[in-house]
Amino acid sequence: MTESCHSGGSRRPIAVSLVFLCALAACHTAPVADRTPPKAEPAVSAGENPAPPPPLSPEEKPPEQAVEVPIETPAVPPDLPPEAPPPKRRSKPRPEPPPSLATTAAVPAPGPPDAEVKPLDNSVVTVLGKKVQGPKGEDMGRVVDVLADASGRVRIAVIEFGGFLGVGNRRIAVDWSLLRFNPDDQTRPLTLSVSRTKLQSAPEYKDSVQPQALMAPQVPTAAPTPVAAPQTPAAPPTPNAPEGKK
Amino acid sequence: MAVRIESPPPANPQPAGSPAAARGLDWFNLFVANIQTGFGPFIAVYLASQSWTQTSIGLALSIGTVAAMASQVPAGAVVDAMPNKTRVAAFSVLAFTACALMFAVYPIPLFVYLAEVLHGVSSCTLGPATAAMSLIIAGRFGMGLRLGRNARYAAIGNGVGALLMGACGQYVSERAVFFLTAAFTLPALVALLPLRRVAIASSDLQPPPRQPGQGRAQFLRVLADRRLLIFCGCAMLFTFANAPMLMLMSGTMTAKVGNPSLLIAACIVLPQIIVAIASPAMGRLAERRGRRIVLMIGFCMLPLRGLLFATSTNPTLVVAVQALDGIGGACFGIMVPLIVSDVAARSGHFTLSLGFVGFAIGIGGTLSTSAAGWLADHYGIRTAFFFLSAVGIAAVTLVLTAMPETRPKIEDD
Repeated sequence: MTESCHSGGSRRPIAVSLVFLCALAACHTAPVADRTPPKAEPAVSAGENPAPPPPLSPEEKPPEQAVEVPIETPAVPPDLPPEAPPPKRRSKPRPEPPPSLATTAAVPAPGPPDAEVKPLDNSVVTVLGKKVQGPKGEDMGRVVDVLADASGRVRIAVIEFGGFLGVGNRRIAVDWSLLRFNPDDQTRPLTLSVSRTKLQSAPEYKDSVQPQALMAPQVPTAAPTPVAAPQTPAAPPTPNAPEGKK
Repeated sequence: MAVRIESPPPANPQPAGSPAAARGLDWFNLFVANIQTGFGPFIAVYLASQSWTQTSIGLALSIGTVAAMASQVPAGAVVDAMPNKTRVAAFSVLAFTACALMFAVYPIPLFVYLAEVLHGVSSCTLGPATAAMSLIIAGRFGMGLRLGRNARYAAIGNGVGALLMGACGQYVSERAVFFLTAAFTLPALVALLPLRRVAIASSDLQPPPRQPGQGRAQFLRVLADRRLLIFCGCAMLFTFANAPMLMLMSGTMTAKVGNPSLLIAACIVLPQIIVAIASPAMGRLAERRGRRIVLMIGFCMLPLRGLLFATSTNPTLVVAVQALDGIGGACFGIMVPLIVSDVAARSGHFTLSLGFVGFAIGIGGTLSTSAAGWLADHYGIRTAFFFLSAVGIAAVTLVLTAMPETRPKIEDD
């Protein structure tokens, strides 16, 4: 085939199609430049939740099992200073973001002092794209999205699982506190403390309808995630009023 | 594969193409189908594993869809203008190699978007080029048999490809799937070797000598052919009803079954087995009894499938019903290039017309996936299946009432 490509006759059509191709490529690669910023936006949920901040509507008390509740973005009291911490979500390059990376609501809250560069230790892991396994080590898909509330605290992980070659996948939103992290081993999957059947039968997470999520039982016994430690389980009566006061 | 080389029927006035070329085309169809499996919805899974956000993945897939839709008709025109269809096919496959490697080696946004565009465009040149090579080899009167063979080998390639790549993604890594895809482009190129010398001259693809001052009018007249327009409508409705069915059903299966991946794999592979078995018979039927009957058989599968899916989600039944998809797929896959070749083979605008139909199919598929997804979200999956069945019935009605028989008569020549 290669030998024939030098015969002059059809040179032009090839050139034409190449030009066409390049033009197409050019106009579609343009968004590349403005694609990066959204990745760095803290409000993960902004793109996913069609109805952004509904007013504080206290829910009924959650049952003792992991239950499905509609995801709501709790309106956070404005006393939390709009700190500058960067997003939770980072793709694999992981350059050297400020150390507050995963401890979003923890330390550097007060005041306007400038962000500074510090070495990042090994205690944090990439979440997006991370595999998830069940309590017995069974495959439970991978994390494809994380949702944070207005204070920047991550509350929900969206897990995609099932299917074959991308056909028939389901996305389920699960409570962030149901996930266990294994920061010692960066390659190890996260552990989700929900049975596989429970996850399978949970309603699918979609933007087009009122999203629902698998939430942790009222008083989780196991230690919460190492990073977001204080807040997540600290919500005694309702999952919707975890003010996270330090 | 116990496939004999079926000799063209005696009516064929121009038996063209050596057995070697015919076999080359068989293998080419098989490997191309292999390759295309990797570029399906699996891309979303792969990009998610590479820490891509859902927004970016959606953007990448949309770019691919838009590129494919936008280039259907222009690509058809370009292939028409190329004297050597084999070379077009070879370049399209090389473009696939590039796409697969870009995905596998360096999945940064620039390369992924570029690969999506390149894949969309070269799919649009490859399909028509393959159909044109088939027409050159088999002639207008042997086209039904030839396309039956094409569909059989493509189905084998699809089924084997799905199994191989599914296993690869599961047990090796998501990335390896794209290396495998790139590797499959090599045998596809080798399969083209015996087809190097097929030429348009003295084949059914040779356009009639053009009268001066007729250029554009001719082009429009071909596309405005009533039979072609009606068939575009049929094809659009068929795809509209067909495309989202497996997607909807497999989502439900994932929620219910112990081992959803295995079940969905069965739902994907079983229809391909049926296509591989049924295609040659369908091609023969189209040559002997005409196109309409084959179209009817294929189109009737749609409402049947939709209604069965709406009534039961029993896993065994779901897999069994997928066999109907195989029959529908065999009929439809053969009929698209066949009817277009009936209508436009000798006009000089065969692949342009194919691109035109491909565009209609693309619209149907794109619209219906969102429409059916929306219906399922808001009114339940049953309603969605009833709706798709209704569209299927509309497609059947259109074939029954409006679609004329297009099988060429010998004296037409």
